[in-house]
Amino acid sequence: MIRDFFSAFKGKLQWDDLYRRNMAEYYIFMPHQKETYNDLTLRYLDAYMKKEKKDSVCVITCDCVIYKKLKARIGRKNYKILPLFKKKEWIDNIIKFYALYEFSNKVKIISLTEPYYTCGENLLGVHGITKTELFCYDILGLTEIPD
Amino acid sequence: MEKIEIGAECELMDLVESHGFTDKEIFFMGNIRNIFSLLKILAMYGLSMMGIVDNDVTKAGVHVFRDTTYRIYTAEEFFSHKKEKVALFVFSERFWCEMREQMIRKGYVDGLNLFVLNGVTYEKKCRYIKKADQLIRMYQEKYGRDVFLLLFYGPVGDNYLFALFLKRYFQKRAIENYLIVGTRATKKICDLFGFSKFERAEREEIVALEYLYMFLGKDAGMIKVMQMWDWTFHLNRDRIRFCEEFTFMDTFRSYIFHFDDKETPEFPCFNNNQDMIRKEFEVKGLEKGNTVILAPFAYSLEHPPKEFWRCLTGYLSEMGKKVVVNIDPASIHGKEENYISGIPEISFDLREGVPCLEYAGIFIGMRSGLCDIISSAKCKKIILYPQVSGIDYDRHRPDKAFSSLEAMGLCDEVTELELDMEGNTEYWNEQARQIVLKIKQEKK
Repeated sequence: MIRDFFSAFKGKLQWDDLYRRNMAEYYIFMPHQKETYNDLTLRYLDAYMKKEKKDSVCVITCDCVIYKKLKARIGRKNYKILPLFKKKEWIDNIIKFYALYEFSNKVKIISLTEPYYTCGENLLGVHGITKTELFCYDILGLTEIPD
Repeated sequence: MEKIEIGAECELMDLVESHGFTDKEIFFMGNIRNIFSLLKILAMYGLSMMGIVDNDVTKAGVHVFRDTTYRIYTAEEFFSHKKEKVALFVFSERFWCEMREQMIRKGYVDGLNLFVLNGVTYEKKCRYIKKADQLIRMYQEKYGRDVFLLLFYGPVGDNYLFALFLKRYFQKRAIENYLIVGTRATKKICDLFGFSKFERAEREEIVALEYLYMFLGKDAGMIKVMQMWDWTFHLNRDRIRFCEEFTFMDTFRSYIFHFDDKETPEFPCFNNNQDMIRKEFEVKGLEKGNTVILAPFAYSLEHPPKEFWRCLTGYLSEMGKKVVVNIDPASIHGKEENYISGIPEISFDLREGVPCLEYAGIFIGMRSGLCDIISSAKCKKIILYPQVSGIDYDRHRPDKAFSSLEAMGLCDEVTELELDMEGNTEYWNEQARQIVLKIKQEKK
């Protein structure tokens, strides 16, 4: 548990620094590499930003393919995108801090297994539920799949 | 073990004693029902509330709650007051984080003009985790280092549904050394199912264990939680289980335990003490097979008016039925009140629930957790649901399609009716008449 606290403490320092440097309205963390939810984030980011009525988002990913795709979107949307590429461990620290203390409501974590298992993925395939549906309902908090 | 939460009232007292607030305009954010008791604390110190700040502009204006007049200010109205002149207390278990952040963005400062009551601070959270760690060590010392914890929380019906799949879960995970940690409601369910290894925990201890589960993540493999109600589990809460095609049973079978739809629940054996039931019925003037047990109480959904139950009782009595109202004398919401004059009350232990209903013959009740427990009773069961439009993905689905005993696979022979809670006196009278008609028709 000492290791967990140490990780969370580092996460706290990292978050303070991240927030101070970027001052974005929203922060999206992607703790997984090559994960379907990452691709879905790209697909539904516009709809999500519209729903949240936010003008700027900082997306922090450890997936270099996603990072490149995000960079290509800079200046091409009606909201500001700030993509950041970080090591998984760096992202995990902030997520560990978030699991300890809900430090902001500007944070979205693109996972149903980290920092803890939400049980959402137990429903994959039940009544035909797909990853896209799980992503939209459980991660983005929507009540339908956007067009 | 050290207590972490001292309660919002005590926190407010401490703040008033240390800050004074005599020259401040005092505002609150939160629900008047929660804030109401805090107003008395303020009055003890000769202070009063200026108003409640609410982001919903439609609520703005003067309101009355329990003979107390108060004013709701819009956020914009509140912002027009000078920051140095106000003290804003935030008190909301669910929204405190957002409320606090909204105010911080507007330049309010924690501890100066912004105070969160019962809020979860970083330091408090660390103390919770430490407390949970102590609890785990205590359990391991008593039950062995390989003890597997099952954390029950919530209403009795949910505890029952959770327990239906527990034995299969133990088999699937090859768990031999289990320990159930829960509340008084959990104890009743453990007794019913014969789970002997149980430790009663205070709310704060349960929350501490939940926080530990969240913090340790995949390293918390020795704890199984029911994480669907508690707002503690704020991260990406599951909403998909409320979609149209789901029933409440999917929440337990699939969402909590990850079983496929072929997995069947394992029902408990009820204590069929016919002698005891017969005596109880005789004392109350009730008749075997000719008694209707009414269960009007359900705490997570809207109720029909009391007149409906009185009217229904009247029709049933005219029909020659004996009517009795089920009362939980130790409900977590306080003793339930029998508001139907002239009929006796009955309170049965959960272990006697099914035999008691079978002895009576007929059960009519709102869809509460009790209905889950008595679902296997071989008697006439009429279960009432509120008509609901739309799905509230953030809370629960009390509608018939989702919570139906039949759709959940808890029983086959049941009459389930949806009622319009907005109905007028005439509507309720007609509904009562229709229910009695159904009983008569079945008799033929």
